[in-house]
Amino acid sequence: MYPELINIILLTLKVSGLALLIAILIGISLGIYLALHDFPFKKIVVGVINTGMGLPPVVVGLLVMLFLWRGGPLGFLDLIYTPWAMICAQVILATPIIAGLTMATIQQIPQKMKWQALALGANNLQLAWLLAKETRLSLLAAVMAGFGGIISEVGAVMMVGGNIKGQTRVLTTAIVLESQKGAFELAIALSVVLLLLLFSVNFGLTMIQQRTKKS
Amino acid sequence: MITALLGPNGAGKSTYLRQLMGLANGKIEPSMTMVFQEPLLFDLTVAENVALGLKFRRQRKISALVGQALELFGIGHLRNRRAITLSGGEAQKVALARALVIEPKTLLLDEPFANLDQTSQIDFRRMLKKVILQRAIETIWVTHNKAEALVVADQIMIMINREIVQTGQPEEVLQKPATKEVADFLGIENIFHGEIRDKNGQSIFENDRVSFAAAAVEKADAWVVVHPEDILLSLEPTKTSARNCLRGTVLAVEPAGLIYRTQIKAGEIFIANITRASVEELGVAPGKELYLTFKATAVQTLDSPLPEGPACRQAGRG
Repeated sequence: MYPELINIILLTLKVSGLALLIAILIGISLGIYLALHDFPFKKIVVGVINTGMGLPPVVVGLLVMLFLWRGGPLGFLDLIYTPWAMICAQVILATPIIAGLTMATIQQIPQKMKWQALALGANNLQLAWLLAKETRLSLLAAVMAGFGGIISEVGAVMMVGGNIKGQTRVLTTAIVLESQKGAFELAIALSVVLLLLLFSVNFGLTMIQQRTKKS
Repeated sequence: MITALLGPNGAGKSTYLRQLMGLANGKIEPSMTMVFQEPLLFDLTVAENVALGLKFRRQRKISALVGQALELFGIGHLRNRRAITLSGGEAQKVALARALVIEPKTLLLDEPFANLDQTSQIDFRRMLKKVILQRAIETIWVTHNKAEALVVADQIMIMINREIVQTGQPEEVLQKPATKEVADFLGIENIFHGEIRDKNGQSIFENDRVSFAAAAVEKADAWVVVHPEDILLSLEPTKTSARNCLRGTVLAVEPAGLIYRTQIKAGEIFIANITRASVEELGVAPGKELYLTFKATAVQTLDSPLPEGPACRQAGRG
Protein backbone atom coordinates (compact mmCIF):
# COMPACT_ATOMS: atom_id res chain seq x y z
CA MET A 1 0.00 0.00 0.00
CA TYR A 2 2.71 2.43 0.99
CA PRO A 3 4.65 2.63 -2.28
CA GLU A 4 1.39 2.69 -4.15
CA LEU A 5 0.24 5.69 -2.10
CA ILE A 6 3.51 7.50 -2.85
CA ASN A 7 2.95 6.66 -6.49
CA ILE A 8 -0.55 8.12 -6.42
CA ILE A 9 0.60 11.32 -4.73
CA LEU A 10 3.47 11.79 -7.16
CA LEU A 11 1.24 11.22 -10.16
CA THR A 12 -1.35 13.63 -8.79
CA LEU A 13 1.30 16.30 -8.37
CA LYS A 14 2.83 15.59 -11.77
CA VAL A 15 -0.44 15.70 -13.67
CA SER A 16 -1.97 18.70 -11.91
CA GLY A 17 1.34 20.56 -11.66
CA LEU A 18 2.09 20.25 -15.36
CA ALA A 19 -1.52 21.05 -16.28
CA LEU A 20 -1.40 24.13 -14.05
CA LEU A 21 1.85 25.31 -15.62
CA ILE A 22 0.42 25.03 -19.13
CA ALA A 23 -2.83 26.68 -18.02
CA ILE A 24 -0.89 29.58 -16.44
CA LEU A 25 1.07 30.19 -19.64
CA ILE A 26 -1.98 30.12 -21.88
CA GLY A 27 -4.46 31.63 -19.40
CA ILE A 28 -2.45 34.65 -18.30
CA SER A 29 -1.29 35.54 -21.82
CA LEU A 30 -4.80 35.14 -23.18
CA GLY A 31 -6.34 37.10 -20.30
CA ILE A 32 -3.94 40.02 -20.73
CA TYR A 33 -4.38 40.01 -24.49
CA LEU A 34 -8.16 40.09 -24.20
CA ALA A 35 -8.03 42.88 -21.63
CA LEU A 36 -5.84 45.12 -23.78
CA HIS A 37 -7.09 44.50 -27.32
CA ASP A 38 -10.31 44.98 -29.17
CA PHE A 39 -11.25 42.89 -32.14
CA PRO A 40 -14.43 41.76 -33.89
CA PHE A 41 -16.43 39.13 -31.98
CA LYS A 42 -14.41 39.80 -28.81
CA LYS A 43 -17.63 39.60 -26.80
CA ILE A 44 -18.23 36.09 -28.08
CA VAL A 45 -14.70 34.98 -27.12
CA VAL A 46 -15.10 36.52 -23.68
CA GLY A 47 -18.49 34.83 -23.33
CA VAL A 48 -16.94 31.47 -24.19
CA ILE A 49 -14.20 31.98 -21.60
CA ASN A 50 -16.67 33.01 -18.93
CA THR A 51 -18.70 29.90 -19.66
CA GLY A 52 -15.47 27.92 -19.53
CA MET A 53 -14.90 29.11 -15.97
CA GLY A 54 -17.82 26.95 -14.93
CA LEU A 55 -17.38 24.13 -17.41
CA PRO A 56 -18.86 20.79 -16.19
CA PRO A 57 -15.83 18.48 -15.84
CA VAL A 58 -17.66 15.40 -17.11
CA VAL A 59 -18.47 17.23 -20.34
CA VAL A 60 -14.79 18.10 -20.75
CA GLY A 61 -13.94 14.49 -19.98
CA LEU A 62 -16.33 13.27 -22.62
CA LEU A 63 -14.99 15.73 -25.18
CA VAL A 64 -11.36 14.83 -24.58
CA MET A 65 -12.29 11.17 -24.65
CA LEU A 66 -14.05 11.50 -28.00
CA PHE A 67 -11.06 13.26 -29.48
CA LEU A 68 -8.47 10.84 -28.11
CA TRP A 69 -10.50 7.68 -28.62
CA ARG A 70 -8.78 5.22 -30.90
CA GLY A 71 -11.22 5.98 -33.70
CA GLY A 72 -11.29 9.72 -32.89
CA PRO A 73 -9.55 12.57 -34.73
CA LEU A 74 -6.50 12.45 -32.43
CA GLY A 75 -6.66 8.74 -31.80
CA PHE A 76 -3.39 8.11 -33.63
CA LEU A 77 -1.56 9.85 -30.75
CA ASP A 78 -2.54 6.91 -28.55
CA LEU A 79 -3.02 9.12 -25.50
CA ILE A 80 -6.29 7.81 -24.11
CA TYR A 81 -5.91 6.32 -20.60
CA THR A 82 -2.50 7.94 -20.13
CA PRO A 83 -1.51 10.79 -17.79
CA TRP A 84 -1.28 13.02 -20.89
CA ALA A 85 -4.99 12.64 -21.52
CA MET A 86 -5.62 13.72 -17.91
CA ILE A 87 -3.33 16.71 -18.31
CA CYS A 88 -5.25 17.63 -21.45
CA ALA A 89 -8.57 17.60 -19.62
CA GLN A 90 -7.18 19.58 -16.67
CA VAL A 91 -5.66 22.24 -18.95
CA ILE A 92 -9.05 22.70 -20.59
CA LEU A 93 -10.66 23.07 -17.16
CA ALA A 94 -8.08 25.45 -15.61
CA THR A 95 -7.23 27.73 -18.55
CA PRO A 96 -10.59 29.57 -18.75
CA ILE A 97 -10.56 30.14 -14.98
CA ILE A 98 -7.10 31.70 -15.09
CA ALA A 99 -7.79 33.60 -18.33
CA GLY A 100 -11.12 34.96 -17.12
CA LEU A 101 -9.80 36.15 -13.76
CA THR A 102 -6.66 37.61 -15.39
CA MET A 103 -8.76 39.53 -17.89
CA ALA A 104 -11.01 40.95 -15.17
CA THR A 105 -7.97 41.95 -13.12
CA ILE A 106 -6.14 43.71 -15.96
CA GLN A 107 -9.31 45.47 -17.09
CA GLN A 108 -9.63 47.01 -13.65
CA ILE A 109 -6.33 48.88 -14.01
CA PRO A 110 -7.21 52.52 -14.77
CA GLN A 111 -6.78 53.46 -18.43
CA LYS A 112 -4.41 56.25 -17.45
CA MET A 113 -1.92 53.75 -15.98
CA LYS A 114 -1.79 52.02 -19.35
CA TRP A 115 -1.38 55.37 -21.14
CA GLN A 116 1.42 56.29 -18.76
CA ALA A 117 3.30 53.06 -19.49
CA LEU A 118 2.91 53.60 -23.23
CA ALA A 119 3.97 57.24 -22.94
CA LEU A 120 7.15 56.04 -21.24
CA GLY A 121 7.83 53.93 -24.32
CA ALA A 122 6.55 50.46 -23.40
CA ASN A 123 5.87 48.11 -26.30
CA ASN A 124 2.97 45.67 -26.03
CA LEU A 125 5.01 42.95 -24.37
CA GLN A 126 6.59 45.34 -21.88
CA LEU A 127 3.15 46.78 -21.11
CA ALA A 128 1.75 43.28 -20.47
CA TRP A 129 4.67 42.40 -18.19
CA LEU A 130 4.36 45.65 -16.23
CA LEU A 131 0.62 45.25 -15.75
CA ALA A 132 1.02 41.61 -14.71
CA LYS A 133 3.57 42.71 -12.10
CA GLU A 134 1.25 45.47 -10.97
CA THR A 135 -1.56 42.98 -10.37
CA ARG A 136 0.57 40.07 -9.14
CA LEU A 137 -1.57 39.55 -6.02
CA SER A 138 -4.76 39.07 -7.99
CA LEU A 139 -3.00 36.95 -10.61
CA LEU A 140 -1.69 34.60 -7.91
CA ALA A 141 -5.25 34.30 -6.63
CA ALA A 142 -6.29 33.37 -10.18
CA VAL A 143 -3.59 30.68 -10.24
CA MET A 144 -4.80 29.31 -6.90
CA ALA A 145 -8.36 29.16 -8.20
CA GLY A 146 -7.15 27.28 -11.26
CA PHE A 147 -5.14 24.82 -9.17
CA GLY A 148 -8.04 24.20 -6.81
CA GLY A 149 -10.25 23.51 -9.80
CA ILE A 150 -8.08 20.74 -11.21
CA ILE A 151 -6.51 18.94 -8.26
CA SER A 152 -9.94 18.31 -6.73
CA GLU A 153 -11.48 17.24 -9.99
CA VAL A 154 -12.54 13.63 -10.46
CA GLY A 155 -15.05 13.19 -13.29
CA ALA A 156 -12.90 14.15 -16.23
CA VAL A 157 -9.71 12.42 -15.11
CA MET A 158 -11.65 9.27 -14.40
CA MET A 159 -13.12 9.27 -17.91
CA VAL A 160 -9.97 9.99 -19.86
CA GLY A 161 -7.46 8.37 -17.51
CA GLY A 162 -9.42 5.29 -16.66
CA ASN A 163 -8.19 5.12 -13.03
CA ILE A 164 -5.66 2.41 -13.91
CA LYS A 165 -3.69 1.26 -10.89
CA GLY A 166 -0.06 2.41 -11.08
CA GLN A 167 -0.64 4.34 -14.29
CA THR A 168 -3.47 6.86 -14.11
CA ARG A 169 -4.74 6.54 -10.57
CA VAL A 170 -4.65 9.90 -8.77
CA LEU A 171 -5.86 10.88 -5.31
CA THR A 172 -9.40 11.82 -6.28
CA THR A 173 -10.05 8.75 -8.38
CA ALA A 174 -8.52 6.55 -5.70
CA ILE A 175 -10.86 8.06 -3.11
CA VAL A 176 -13.87 7.30 -5.31
CA LEU A 177 -12.72 3.72 -5.85
CA GLU A 178 -11.96 2.97 -2.19
CA SER A 179 -15.29 4.47 -1.03
CA GLN A 180 -17.16 2.33 -3.53
CA LYS A 181 -15.30 -0.74 -2.28
CA GLY A 182 -16.34 0.20 1.27
CA ALA A 183 -12.73 0.83 2.36
CA PHE A 184 -13.69 4.03 4.14
CA GLU A 185 -10.60 4.17 6.34
CA LEU A 186 -8.37 4.26 3.31
CA ALA A 187 -10.69 6.71 1.55
CA ILE A 188 -10.54 9.02 4.53
CA ALA A 189 -6.75 8.74 4.73
CA LEU A 190 -6.48 9.60 1.02
CA SER A 191 -8.81 12.56 1.53
CA VAL A 192 -6.63 13.88 4.31
CA VAL A 193 -3.59 13.57 2.06
CA LEU A 194 -5.41 15.44 -0.71
CA LEU A 195 -6.42 18.22 1.66
CA LEU A 196 -2.88 18.49 3.01
CA LEU A 197 -1.53 18.70 -0.51
CA LEU A 198 -4.03 21.37 -1.49
CA PHE A 199 -3.26 23.30 1.67
CA SER A 200 0.50 23.19 1.30
CA VAL A 201 0.48 24.31 -2.33
CA ASN A 202 -1.91 27.18 -1.61
CA PHE A 203 0.00 28.05 1.54
CA GLY A 204 3.18 28.29 -0.55
CA LEU A 205 1.44 30.55 -3.08
CA THR A 206 -0.02 32.64 -0.27
CA MET A 207 3.45 33.12 1.19
CA ILE A 208 4.69 34.38 -2.18
CA GLN A 209 1.64 36.61 -2.49
CA GLN A 210 1.94 38.19 0.94
CA ARG A 211 5.70 38.56 0.71
CA THR A 212 5.39 40.67 -2.43
CA LYS A 213 2.75 42.73 -0.67
CA LYS A 214 5.03 43.67 2.22
CA SER A 215 8.32 44.49 0.49
CA MET B 1 10.26 76.82 -24.98
CA ILE B 2 7.15 76.31 -22.90
CA THR B 3 3.77 76.54 -24.53
CA ALA B 4 0.83 76.69 -22.16
CA LEU B 5 -2.30 75.09 -23.59
CA LEU B 6 -5.01 76.98 -21.80
CA GLY B 7 -8.74 76.48 -21.93
CA PRO B 8 -11.83 75.86 -19.85
CA ASN B 9 -12.56 72.42 -18.41
CA GLY B 10 -13.88 70.11 -21.08
CA ALA B 11 -12.37 72.07 -23.96
CA GLY B 12 -10.53 68.97 -25.18
CA LYS B 13 -7.04 69.83 -23.94
CA SER B 14 -6.24 66.37 -22.55
CA THR B 15 -7.58 64.67 -25.65
CA TYR B 16 -5.40 66.91 -27.80
CA LEU B 17 -2.35 66.02 -25.70
CA ARG B 18 -3.04 62.30 -25.99
CA GLN B 19 -3.30 62.71 -29.76
CA LEU B 20 0.07 64.45 -29.84
CA MET B 21 1.56 61.65 -27.75
CA GLY B 22 0.20 59.08 -30.19
CA LEU B 23 -1.97 57.37 -27.59
CA ALA B 24 -5.02 57.79 -29.81
CA ASN B 25 -3.65 55.75 -32.71
CA GLY B 26 -1.01 53.69 -30.91
CA LYS B 27 1.90 55.33 -32.75
CA ILE B 28 3.95 56.52 -29.79
CA GLU B 29 6.62 59.09 -30.50
CA PRO B 30 9.72 57.78 -28.65
CA SER B 31 11.37 61.19 -28.19
CA MET B 32 8.25 62.42 -26.40
CA THR B 33 6.79 61.61 -23.03
CA MET B 34 3.90 62.72 -20.89
CA VAL B 35 3.16 63.49 -17.23
CA PHE B 36 -0.44 63.37 -16.07
CA GLN B 37 -2.34 65.11 -13.31
CA GLU B 38 -2.06 62.00 -11.13
CA PRO B 39 1.45 60.61 -10.48
CA LEU B 40 0.40 57.17 -11.85
CA LEU B 41 3.22 55.35 -10.10
CA PHE B 42 3.39 51.59 -10.33
CA ASP B 43 3.56 49.37 -7.26
CA LEU B 44 7.35 49.16 -7.40
CA THR B 45 10.11 51.06 -5.63
CA VAL B 46 10.75 54.69 -6.51
CA ALA B 47 13.94 53.73 -8.36
CA GLU B 48 12.15 51.00 -10.32
CA ASN B 49 9.45 53.45 -11.34
CA VAL B 50 11.96 56.00 -12.56
CA ALA B 51 13.88 53.28 -14.40
CA LEU B 52 10.84 52.16 -16.44
CA GLY B 53 11.40 54.37 -19.49
CA LEU B 54 15.09 53.46 -19.58
CA LYS B 55 14.31 49.75 -19.30
CA PHE B 56 11.77 49.98 -22.09
CA ARG B 57 14.54 51.54 -24.21
CA ARG B 58 17.07 48.90 -23.10
CA GLN B 59 19.44 51.62 -21.97
CA ARG B 60 22.69 51.02 -20.03
CA LYS B 61 23.86 52.52 -16.73
CA ILE B 62 20.27 52.77 -15.59
CA SER B 63 21.11 53.02 -11.89
CA ALA B 64 23.33 56.09 -12.29
CA LEU B 65 20.82 57.87 -14.54
CA VAL B 66 18.01 57.15 -12.10
CA GLY B 67 20.11 58.59 -9.26
CA GLN B 68 20.75 61.79 -11.22
CA ALA B 69 17.09 62.19 -12.10
CA LEU B 70 16.04 61.77 -8.47
CA GLU B 71 18.61 64.34 -7.34
CA LEU B 72 17.24 66.79 -9.89
CA PHE B 73 14.10 66.99 -7.76
CA GLY B 74 15.84 66.49 -4.41
CA ILE B 75 14.33 63.06 -3.74
CA GLY B 76 17.43 60.84 -3.79
CA HIS B 77 16.61 59.67 -0.27
CA LEU B 78 13.31 58.13 -1.48
CA ARG B 79 15.11 55.81 -3.89
CA ASN B 80 14.21 52.53 -2.19
CA ARG B 81 10.79 53.50 -0.88
CA ARG B 82 7.75 51.67 -2.13
CA ALA B 83 6.23 54.21 -4.52
CA ILE B 84 2.62 53.86 -3.40
CA THR B 85 3.53 54.95 0.14
CA LEU B 86 4.67 58.43 -0.95
CA SER B 87 2.81 61.68 -0.31
CA GLY B 88 1.15 63.46 -3.24
CA GLY B 89 3.96 65.95 -3.71
CA GLU B 90 6.72 63.34 -3.46
CA ALA B 91 4.87 61.09 -5.89
CA GLN B 92 4.54 63.86 -8.45
CA LYS B 93 8.28 64.54 -8.19
CA VAL B 94 8.91 60.86 -8.91
CA ALA B 95 6.58 61.09 -11.92
CA LEU B 96 8.56 64.09 -13.21
CA ALA B 97 11.91 62.36 -12.63
CA ARG B 98 10.57 59.32 -14.46
CA ALA B 99 9.66 61.46 -17.46
CA LEU B 100 12.87 63.51 -17.55
CA VAL B 101 15.27 60.60 -17.09
CA ILE B 102 14.64 59.47 -20.67
CA GLU B 103 15.75 62.92 -21.87
CA PRO B 104 12.70 63.67 -23.99
CA LYS B 105 12.87 66.22 -26.77
CA THR B 106 9.24 67.05 -26.16
CA LEU B 107 7.46 66.93 -22.82
CA LEU B 108 3.68 66.94 -22.51
CA LEU B 109 2.26 67.96 -19.15
CA ASP B 110 -1.43 67.44 -18.44
CA GLU B 111 -2.23 69.72 -15.48
CA PRO B 112 0.73 68.24 -13.61
CA PHE B 113 0.20 70.15 -10.35
CA ALA B 114 -3.58 70.42 -10.20
CA ASN B 115 -3.71 67.95 -7.28
CA LEU B 116 -1.23 69.87 -5.12
CA ASP B 117 -1.95 72.69 -2.69
CA GLN B 118 -1.38 76.29 -3.78
CA THR B 119 1.95 76.79 -2.02
CA SER B 120 3.46 73.60 -3.39
CA GLN B 121 2.21 74.48 -6.86
CA ILE B 122 4.35 77.60 -6.88
CA ASP B 123 7.50 75.69 -5.80
CA PHE B 124 6.86 72.88 -8.25
CA ARG B 125 6.30 75.27 -11.13
CA ARG B 126 9.53 77.11 -10.46
CA MET B 127 11.48 73.87 -10.09
CA LEU B 128 10.09 72.28 -13.24
CA LYS B 129 10.40 75.42 -15.34
CA LYS B 130 14.08 75.66 -14.40
CA VAL B 131 14.76 72.07 -15.44
CA ILE B 132 12.87 72.46 -18.70
CA LEU B 133 14.74 75.63 -19.64
CA GLN B 134 18.13 74.17 -18.64
CA ARG B 135 17.59 71.17 -20.86
CA ALA B 136 15.86 73.08 -23.66
CA ILE B 137 12.91 70.70 -23.75
CA GLU B 138 10.04 71.63 -26.01
CA THR B 139 7.12 71.59 -23.58
CA ILE B 140 3.39 71.72 -23.91
CA TRP B 141 1.85 72.43 -20.54
CA VAL B 142 -1.89 71.98 -20.25
CA THR B 143 -3.65 74.01 -17.62
CA HIS B 144 -6.98 75.65 -16.95
CA ASN B 145 -5.27 78.02 -14.52
CA LYS B 146 -4.57 81.36 -16.19
CA ALA B 147 -2.08 82.44 -13.53
CA GLU B 148 -0.09 79.25 -14.04
CA ALA B 149 -0.02 79.78 -17.79
CA LEU B 150 1.20 83.35 -17.43
CA VAL B 151 3.94 82.37 -15.01
CA VAL B 152 5.39 79.44 -16.91
CA ALA B 153 4.76 80.06 -20.58
CA ASP B 154 6.72 81.67 -23.39
CA GLN B 155 3.68 81.17 -25.54
CA ILE B 156 0.01 80.58 -24.87
CA MET B 157 -2.36 78.48 -26.94
CA ILE B 158 -6.04 78.89 -26.16
CA MET B 159 -8.35 75.98 -26.81
CA ILE B 160 -12.10 76.36 -26.71
CA ASN B 161 -14.58 73.73 -27.89
CA ARG B 162 -11.87 71.39 -29.19
CA GLU B 163 -10.29 74.06 -31.34
CA ILE B 164 -7.15 76.10 -30.86
CA VAL B 165 -8.52 79.60 -31.33
CA GLN B 166 -5.44 81.68 -30.56
CA THR B 167 -1.68 81.30 -30.19
CA GLY B 168 0.65 84.04 -29.08
CA GLN B 169 2.83 85.51 -26.39
CA PRO B 170 1.10 85.88 -23.01
CA GLU B 171 0.87 89.69 -23.12
CA GLU B 172 -0.35 89.61 -26.68
CA VAL B 173 -3.14 87.15 -25.89
CA LEU B 174 -4.20 89.07 -22.80
CA GLN B 175 -4.22 92.39 -24.60
CA LYS B 176 -5.70 91.22 -27.85
CA PRO B 177 -7.90 88.20 -27.28
CA ALA B 178 -8.87 86.88 -30.70
CA THR B 179 -12.51 86.16 -29.98
CA LYS B 180 -15.25 86.93 -27.50
CA GLU B 181 -14.87 83.42 -26.04
CA VAL B 182 -11.16 83.93 -25.45
CA ALA B 183 -11.83 87.27 -23.78
CA ASP B 184 -14.57 85.74 -21.61
CA PHE B 185 -12.37 82.83 -20.65
CA LEU B 186 -9.48 85.11 -19.76
CA GLY B 187 -11.83 87.14 -17.59
CA ILE B 188 -11.30 90.27 -19.62
CA GLU B 189 -13.73 93.02 -18.70
CA ASN B 190 -15.49 95.80 -20.59
CA ILE B 191 -16.48 93.75 -23.60
CA PHE B 192 -19.21 95.42 -25.62
CA HIS B 193 -21.22 94.42 -28.65
CA GLY B 194 -22.34 96.84 -31.34
CA GLU B 195 -21.45 98.34 -34.68
CA ILE B 196 -18.36 100.19 -35.86
CA ARG B 197 -19.27 102.82 -38.46
CA ASP B 198 -17.62 105.70 -40.16
CA LYS B 199 -18.92 109.07 -39.01
CA ASN B 200 -17.35 112.15 -40.64
CA GLY B 201 -14.07 110.36 -41.23
CA GLN B 202 -13.87 108.93 -37.74
CA SER B 203 -14.64 105.38 -36.66
CA ILE B 204 -17.32 105.23 -34.03
CA PHE B 205 -18.39 102.23 -31.97
CA GLU B 206 -22.07 102.43 -31.26
CA ASN B 207 -24.96 100.48 -29.81
CA ASP B 208 -28.24 101.64 -28.28
CA ARG B 209 -26.58 102.33 -24.93
CA VAL B 210 -23.22 103.90 -25.70
CA SER B 211 -21.17 105.51 -28.43
CA PHE B 212 -17.43 106.26 -28.53
CA ALA B 213 -14.53 106.63 -30.95
CA ALA B 214 -12.65 103.48 -31.82
CA ALA B 215 -9.53 103.25 -33.95
CA ALA B 216 -10.89 100.36 -35.97
CA VAL B 217 -12.34 99.46 -39.34
CA GLU B 218 -16.06 99.42 -40.03
CA LYS B 219 -17.87 96.31 -38.94
CA ALA B 220 -21.57 95.61 -38.48
CA ASP B 221 -21.32 92.89 -35.85
CA ALA B 222 -18.44 93.99 -33.65
CA TRP B 223 -17.11 93.02 -30.22
CA VAL B 224 -14.79 95.53 -28.61
CA VAL B 225 -12.76 95.59 -25.41
CA VAL B 226 -11.62 98.55 -23.32
CA HIS B 227 -9.14 97.25 -20.72
CA PRO B 228 -9.94 98.61 -17.23
CA GLU B 229 -6.39 99.91 -16.78
CA ASP B 230 -6.82 102.10 -19.87
CA ILE B 231 -9.70 104.02 -18.31
CA LEU B 232 -9.04 107.22 -16.35
CA LEU B 233 -11.58 108.74 -13.99
CA SER B 234 -11.96 112.46 -13.35
CA LEU B 235 -14.39 114.94 -11.81
CA GLU B 236 -14.34 117.30 -14.83
CA PRO B 237 -14.57 116.28 -18.51
CA THR B 238 -11.21 116.09 -20.30
CA LYS B 239 -10.91 117.92 -23.60
CA THR B 240 -8.78 116.11 -26.14
CA SER B 241 -10.10 115.06 -29.51
CA ALA B 242 -8.13 111.78 -29.52
CA ARG B 243 -9.82 110.68 -26.31
CA ASN B 244 -13.29 109.52 -25.47
CA CYS B 245 -14.92 111.15 -22.52
CA LEU B 246 -18.12 109.64 -21.12
CA ARG B 247 -20.18 110.76 -18.19
CA GLY B 248 -21.24 108.05 -15.78
CA THR B 249 -22.51 107.14 -12.35
CA VAL B 250 -20.62 104.93 -9.93
CA LEU B 251 -22.56 101.74 -9.12
CA ALA B 252 -20.09 100.05 -6.78
CA VAL B 253 -16.53 100.22 -5.48
CA GLU B 254 -14.84 97.18 -4.02
CA PRO B 255 -11.27 96.54 -2.93
CA ALA B 256 -9.46 93.97 -5.08
CA GLY B 257 -6.01 93.52 -3.64
CA LEU B 258 -4.01 96.70 -4.05
CA ILE B 259 -6.50 98.36 -6.35
CA TYR B 260 -10.18 99.23 -6.18
CA ARG B 261 -12.50 97.76 -8.73
CA THR B 262 -15.05 100.37 -9.69
CA GLN B 263 -18.26 99.75 -11.64
CA ILE B 264 -19.56 102.78 -13.51
CA LYS B 265 -22.68 103.01 -15.59
CA ALA B 266 -22.09 105.17 -18.65
CA GLY B 267 -24.66 103.66 -21.00
CA GLU B 268 -22.87 100.31 -20.72
CA ILE B 269 -21.39 99.26 -17.42
CA PHE B 270 -17.64 99.88 -17.39
CA ILE B 271 -15.10 98.51 -14.94
CA ALA B 272 -12.18 100.73 -14.01
CA ASN B 273 -9.32 99.82 -11.68
CA ILE B 274 -8.15 102.73 -9.53
CA THR B 275 -5.81 103.24 -6.60
CA ARG B 276 -6.84 103.95 -3.03
CA ALA B 277 -5.49 107.47 -3.43
CA SER B 278 -7.80 108.07 -6.41
CA VAL B 279 -10.80 106.71 -4.52
CA GLU B 280 -10.20 109.26 -1.77
CA GLU B 281 -9.27 112.13 -4.04
CA LEU B 282 -12.30 111.71 -6.31
CA GLY B 283 -14.65 110.71 -3.51
CA VAL B 284 -15.63 107.58 -5.42
CA ALA B 285 -18.76 106.07 -3.90
CA PRO B 286 -22.00 104.66 -5.26
CA GLY B 287 -24.10 107.42 -6.85
CA LYS B 288 -21.12 109.70 -7.53
CA GLU B 289 -21.02 111.23 -11.03
CA LEU B 290 -17.67 110.99 -12.82
CA TYR B 291 -16.10 111.20 -16.27
CA LEU B 292 -14.42 108.23 -17.92
CA THR B 293 -11.63 108.94 -20.36
CA PHE B 294 -9.93 106.49 -22.72
CA LYS B 295 -8.12 106.75 -26.03
CA ALA B 296 -9.73 105.61 -29.26
CA THR B 297 -6.67 103.43 -29.75
CA ALA B 298 -7.40 101.68 -26.45
CA VAL B 299 -10.58 100.27 -27.98
CA GLN B 300 -9.77 96.83 -29.35
CA THR B 301 -11.91 94.80 -31.71
CA LEU B 302 -12.35 91.06 -31.30
CA ASP B 303 -13.16 88.55 -34.00
CA SER B 304 -16.81 87.61 -33.94
CA PRO B 305 -17.63 84.49 -31.99
CA LEU B 306 -18.15 81.36 -34.03
CA PRO B 307 -21.65 81.17 -35.48
CA GLU B 308 -24.02 78.91 -33.62
CA GLY B 309 -27.47 77.50 -34.19
CA PRO B 310 -28.83 74.68 -36.33
CA ALA B 311 -28.89 76.62 -39.62
CA CYS B 312 -25.21 77.47 -39.38
CA ARG B 313 -24.26 73.95 -38.35
CA GLN B 314 -26.04 72.50 -41.32
CA ALA B 315 -24.31 74.90 -43.65
CA GLY B 316 -21.00 74.00 -42.08
CA ARG B 317 -21.56 70.32 -42.60
CA GLY B 318 -22.51 70.73 -46.27
